[in-house]
Amino acid sequence: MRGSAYGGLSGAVVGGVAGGLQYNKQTAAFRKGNAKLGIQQPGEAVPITDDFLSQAQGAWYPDAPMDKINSFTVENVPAKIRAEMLANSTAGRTDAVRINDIFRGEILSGKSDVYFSPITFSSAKRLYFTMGHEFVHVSQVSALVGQPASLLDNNAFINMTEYHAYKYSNGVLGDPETGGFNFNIFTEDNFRQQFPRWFDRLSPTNFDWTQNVEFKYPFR
Amino acid sequence: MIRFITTMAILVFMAGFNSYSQGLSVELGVEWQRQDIRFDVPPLLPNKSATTPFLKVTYRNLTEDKLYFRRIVALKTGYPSIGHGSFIKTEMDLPDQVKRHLDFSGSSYNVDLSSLNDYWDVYNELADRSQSYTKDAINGGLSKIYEVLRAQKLLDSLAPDLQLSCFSDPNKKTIQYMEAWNSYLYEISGAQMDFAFLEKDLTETDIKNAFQSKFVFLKPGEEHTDEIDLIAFYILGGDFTFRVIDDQLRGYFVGVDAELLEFPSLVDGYKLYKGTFLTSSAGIKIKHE
Repeated sequence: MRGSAYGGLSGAVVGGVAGGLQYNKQTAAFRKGNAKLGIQQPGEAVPITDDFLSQAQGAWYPDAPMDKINSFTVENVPAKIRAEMLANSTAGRTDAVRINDIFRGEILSGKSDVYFSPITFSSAKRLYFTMGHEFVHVSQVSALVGQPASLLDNNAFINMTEYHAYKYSNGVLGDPETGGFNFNIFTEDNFRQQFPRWFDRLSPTNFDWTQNVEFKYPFR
Repeated sequence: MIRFITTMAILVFMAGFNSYSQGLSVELGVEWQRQDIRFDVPPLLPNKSATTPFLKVTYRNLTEDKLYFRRIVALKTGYPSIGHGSFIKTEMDLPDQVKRHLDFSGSSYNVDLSSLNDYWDVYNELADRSQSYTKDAINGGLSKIYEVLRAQKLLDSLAPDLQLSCFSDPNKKTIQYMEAWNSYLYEISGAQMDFAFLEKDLTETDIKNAFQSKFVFLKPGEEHTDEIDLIAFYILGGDFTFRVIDDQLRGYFVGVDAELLEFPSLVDGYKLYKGTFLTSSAGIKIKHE
């Protein structure tokens, strides 16, 4: 009893100290990001421009895989896609770029187009969460370069990639949105069994840019 | 409210050149059928039957041999598989997204069908696809509609008292798509049935069992017709030309590592058909007013 009580107490102390240190680190990162972008509060609206989008990417995700992106825009979203995003309250969207292979049919080029909705700019933190989420997809598409495009035409496969992206944006960045997924071992096991070749390879833990701890958690 | 401008079916036979040439034909046509569907998505009216188009794909064995071959116009749970390849971050329930679909009337699309793909490829006829490209927005709309129809069909068998919110059966309780997916549908992806995910040759047993729906078996002179519900095309509107772009059946499929994975040369006395076939295209124009 006494041992467990001491254990609990020491755990609480250690946890409290670690939590405090993490909080200070987050706050520092948050202030640094704010200073760069001119943001006073995480919930404030930010300019709906490609220029700001680019600045924000540089401040929040300096190691993001921008070389794997063809379009990264809120201002030049194709009309039908923009209309669909507004109709469906879509915060962000990543489209995989394809090429035709005479032998294999459509294959993935490894590049993506990333589109943002104006509604996402209603708060800096929403844009931050969405950007991180979409970068997971960009890295996933990059990891699938040369593969049949029909992989991404399978809804279950798309769900598996979304699971990873939401788990990252919700669990690591602090985004309240979950995409409706249950983040538990049963869901993971199911995806792993269905897609044994791909589940672990498309996890954000494999993408270098997610390891940049300096700017992790700034809005939590 | 809705005007069907024309339905046309154009048969364009193509000559083949190898020893098995013209041993098989794959003919496309469109037929309108009245169906009673409680699908509450405009322009369909709640609890009213609707006349919607169906694509008829007729496979005809023109040889004196028993033949089997990969189904050229792929189906998944009875519906077309439309590839979209987009990752969309939204909290809106999928049936609500379906209800808020866009209208594509007035635009013209090719719908390419090929034994190389498990998925139908829909793209604007003006699109330049000589270089790299992304999927046309219409694919997302079509894919979502077929996904809720497919999900409801699975729910009907797994949890018959439940329905997605775009269906209007007064005797059923409504469930959100992701809730249904988390509880009932997550195990039934069909991924194992997609050629894109296969990493080994298919055996005779595979083809006779799990993969039977991916193949057609025909006796000499026999024909088989698939009727494929085009309701999603009807809902979104537009001018569509359905065509088989690749008039050749191969005895293999290309695996994930670009390796050739072969089909058995004989299954239950049916010979694998390889080579060219005769084919046709079919068009349909749908405009909502």
